Amino acid sequence: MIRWTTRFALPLVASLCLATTAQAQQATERYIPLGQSPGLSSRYTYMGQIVRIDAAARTVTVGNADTTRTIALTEHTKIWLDRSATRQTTLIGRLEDLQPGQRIEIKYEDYATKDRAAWIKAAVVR
Amino acid sequence: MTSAVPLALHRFTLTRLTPIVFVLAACRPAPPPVPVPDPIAKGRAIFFNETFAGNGRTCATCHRAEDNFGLSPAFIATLPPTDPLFVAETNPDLAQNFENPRLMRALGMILENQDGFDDLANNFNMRGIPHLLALRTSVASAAGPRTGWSGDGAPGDGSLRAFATGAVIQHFTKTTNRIAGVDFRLPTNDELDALEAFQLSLGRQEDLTLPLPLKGVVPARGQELFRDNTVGKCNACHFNAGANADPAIFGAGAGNLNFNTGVEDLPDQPADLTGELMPPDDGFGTPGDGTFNTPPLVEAADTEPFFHNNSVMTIEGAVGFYDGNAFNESPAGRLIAAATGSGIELDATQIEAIAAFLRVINALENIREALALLATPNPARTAPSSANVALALEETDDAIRVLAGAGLHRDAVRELQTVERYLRQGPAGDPAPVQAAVQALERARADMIETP
Ligand code: HEC
Ligand code: HEC
Repeated sequence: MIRWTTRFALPLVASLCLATTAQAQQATERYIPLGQSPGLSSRYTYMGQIVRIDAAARTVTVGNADTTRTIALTEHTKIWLDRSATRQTTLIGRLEDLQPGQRIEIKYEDYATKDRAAWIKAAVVR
Repeated sequence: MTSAVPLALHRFTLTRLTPIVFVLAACRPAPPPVPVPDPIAKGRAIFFNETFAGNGRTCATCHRAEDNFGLSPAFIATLPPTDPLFVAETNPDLAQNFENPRLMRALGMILENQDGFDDLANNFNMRGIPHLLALRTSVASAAGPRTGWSGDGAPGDGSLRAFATGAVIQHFTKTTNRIAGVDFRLPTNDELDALEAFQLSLGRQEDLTLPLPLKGVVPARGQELFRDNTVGKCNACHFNAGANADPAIFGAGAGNLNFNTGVEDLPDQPADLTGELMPPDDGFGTPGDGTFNTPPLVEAADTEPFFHNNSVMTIEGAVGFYDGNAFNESPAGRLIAAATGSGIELDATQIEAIAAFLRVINALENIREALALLATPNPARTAPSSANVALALEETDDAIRVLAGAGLHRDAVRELQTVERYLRQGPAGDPAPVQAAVQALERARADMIETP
């Protein structure tokens, strides 16, 4: 009788199911204002003000009362310009739209290394 | 089903005790009882009534208690034109790029922007509305929570709790600007907790343990085929007819996995035949990897249409899908062929037998749920509330429909029709017809499965 064995199971696990986190942030995330992402904000995201932007290296340095971090943007990093304070819709942004002093929230691509951003929400107040 | 009985009893005793505690408290002249916070009751109220300052929809607009917390095209056909489901037809701000009314009415399909909101006219998916039953058994996986048809439905931490926030943004908005505080308000943390508690309370709380001692020869053969890793091979992904993968194959704790089973490649899908724009649905992630999340099957037979795109109307058709090219040439189909030496090949009798098995376990679940509803007394009385009686009627009706739809267990069907007569009879709160209905439900169950 042909049976499923552990030998068969391995390629199945590897190819059929999702072993990694992938780029899976749900599209609705865009419309959630800074600091309000359910289960993420104030636990797994980093909130602070932009200290410096290095366009060539594609990094942002962000500081808050606790720490200052330099975080890299990847080709997958989403940037959202949160204009809910002025009752306008959230726009998709680029690195060039960010400015020192701006309040931002960052979700890390990997919480363990905290070095790359999966998404950045930047507060636009005017 | 044996494991479900103590669960129902447990719920029964718990809820039975509540009024006694109240009575005892009332006898004493001491301070009135401190209200115990009940997140499930709070979540239920939010689920049915809260519009989140949006377009008028609630969660229950699409997840109807009377339709297994889902919504079928048949049910949609009974709704008045003023129902908030149809906001795209009644609210000019939502006329464009929010829903496709034709596909909604014909096939129960809802527009979702899983891959982003940057090109609303072209970048969307049309998906069916899933039931919300047995969520306690069908979300956890080794790779994190899996919600929605592609497993990536929730924003934030991706949890069932966070799902509601995404649902408000997608479905409740007053305009496609989707501005928090203007077009809707986001659920608070307390509301998310309560909604999660309520949703987790719905339906089955644990997986079955197959094989069940089924009495009908065809459903019993269907169960064998379902579990046979050389024939049906269903149990590998739908372990114990649930939503989790077989731990012997995929590893302990693998949980609720995603697969690309090729549903998108089905030819002649009803939605495509309408000629309406149906962009391909690429499943999990952005860009997607083509995989979809495994749904539980105990709840399947009475929640047609099937699959993420509502492409198949009958449970026989859904089982037959696995005999076809779309499945056998899919990534999942090919790997199954590689792992077991052959694809899935089922003849008409076997398709019907597996479907009969799925019909019977669905009817048994309907009966379990109806008994649980009838065992939950109205706080003031000894009989269940009229709302519970109405839901027990729906469950009974579903059981009749799935059994009679394939000529199964005619004696059980007769008993279930008796249940309906009893439940429609008598003033609300009269325990006698309810007791008679409970006995008839138990007889119907005994017709289908050996009971200890
Ligand atoms: C306009 C219809 C509509 C409304 C309103 C709606 N939903 Fe849904 N719901 C859907 C559709 C369509 C899906 C499938 C989404 C997907 O595939 O990601 C779904 C999926 C779900 C799921 C995933 C179930 C699973 O098996 O993984 C949950 C949980 C859920 N909805 C809860 C809610 C809650 C809570 C609300 C209210 C805040 C709500 N829904 C409002 C249509 C709706
Ligand atoms: C490789 C894993 C896998 C195998 C094997 C498998 N399924 Fe599925 N099943 C899935 C996935 C994933 C879905 C969701 C697909 C979609 O909607 O695109 C699904 C969906 C279904 C549905 C639709 C449920 C609903 O609520 O819409 C039914 C019915 C079903 N399967 C029955 C079966 C039967 C019967 C077998 C065996 C003949 C089987 N499955 C074998 C993974 C599997």
